[in-house]
Amino acid sequence: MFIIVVGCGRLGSSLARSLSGAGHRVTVVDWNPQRFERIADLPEVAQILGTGIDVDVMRQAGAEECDALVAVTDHDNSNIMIAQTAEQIFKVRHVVARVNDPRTGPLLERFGIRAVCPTQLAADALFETLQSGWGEEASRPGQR
Amino acid sequence: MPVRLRATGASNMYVIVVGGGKVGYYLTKTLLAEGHEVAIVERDEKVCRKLELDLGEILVHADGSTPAGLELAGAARAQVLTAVTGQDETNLVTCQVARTFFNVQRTIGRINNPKNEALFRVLDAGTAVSSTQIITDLIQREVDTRHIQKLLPMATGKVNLFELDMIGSSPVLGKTVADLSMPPGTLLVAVMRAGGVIVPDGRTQILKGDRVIAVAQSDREEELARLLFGAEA
Repeated sequence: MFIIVVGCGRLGSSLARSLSGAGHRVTVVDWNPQRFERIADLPEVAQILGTGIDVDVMRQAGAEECDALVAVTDHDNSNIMIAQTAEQIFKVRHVVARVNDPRTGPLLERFGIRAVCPTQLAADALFETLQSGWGEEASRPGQR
Repeated sequence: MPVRLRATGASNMYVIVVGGGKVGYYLTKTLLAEGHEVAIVERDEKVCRKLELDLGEILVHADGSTPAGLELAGAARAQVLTAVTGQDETNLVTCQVARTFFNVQRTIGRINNPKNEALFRVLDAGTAVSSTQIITDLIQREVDTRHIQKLLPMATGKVNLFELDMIGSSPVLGKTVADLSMPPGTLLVAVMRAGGVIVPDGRTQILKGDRVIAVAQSDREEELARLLFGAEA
């Protein structure tokens, strides 16, 4: 698969690394050249310098030919816009956005955007971990 | 410039301005001066503190790109929402939220990149206004040999009113309106000549120096320009 990752922060670079490791063709887009240092050891991953909310940049990255696109910049609204552009303008088949604010849930649902919220995932995982640590105590809520 | 009818008391509206930068600030002041009811939404606390001085009563400290933020601003009863932050993505999402969650009929988003206008259209997010595009158009008009100027968009630009200056190289000089065979979807409305206005009929001749006012569907503009100014223009 040919996959475009927009945003080369910690999440974007890790994802690019995993996808590339799994044998996919990957292109990463970021406006900040310093962020590409995170994937400097991955020569097979293409780098496009520019903002993901610019259709010309995305076209240059191959948005018209890619099989999947992941929007993982630091800004929720950017990711929402990038995801919608990918779906509506470039007709990308698989599009996923990262959102940080769990409250964007209803909005994404209305707009028909598939999204992952790391904040919610982390909160759920922490809750699970805490709960498993409590063990027996958890069955006696309210007691110290 | 198109003639604008002044708002009367009965037609005043509730307008929400999202973004308290310079554009948002002056837009709010201007709308207030026109007699409209306005709320200005700004998420940055520092910016809010500055706005508080003279817009305190109508200032909403919230993120206008979220349903919760627009709820605070009373978006459900707004006739118009305009998103004028410096970020295209925020303005797009704000307009979308206003339309889908609060059913705001008229949304206007400021964009920096004129190419984002297409996305506004595809997503039915409302009207996109690009100062980049407006300035480009003004410059382009200076170099444009066709001497055509858009006066007024109607039905959000599906049909436009044009002013066309009949220069010496125009291939239609001396022809009558009947000879022109105007393309479908276009209409000559008026001919301004020597300080007077003629409402043309089939016998009206087009002369050098005429200023022609025409209406055209947006997909017929090129045809109209080609007819009046020739193919090479």
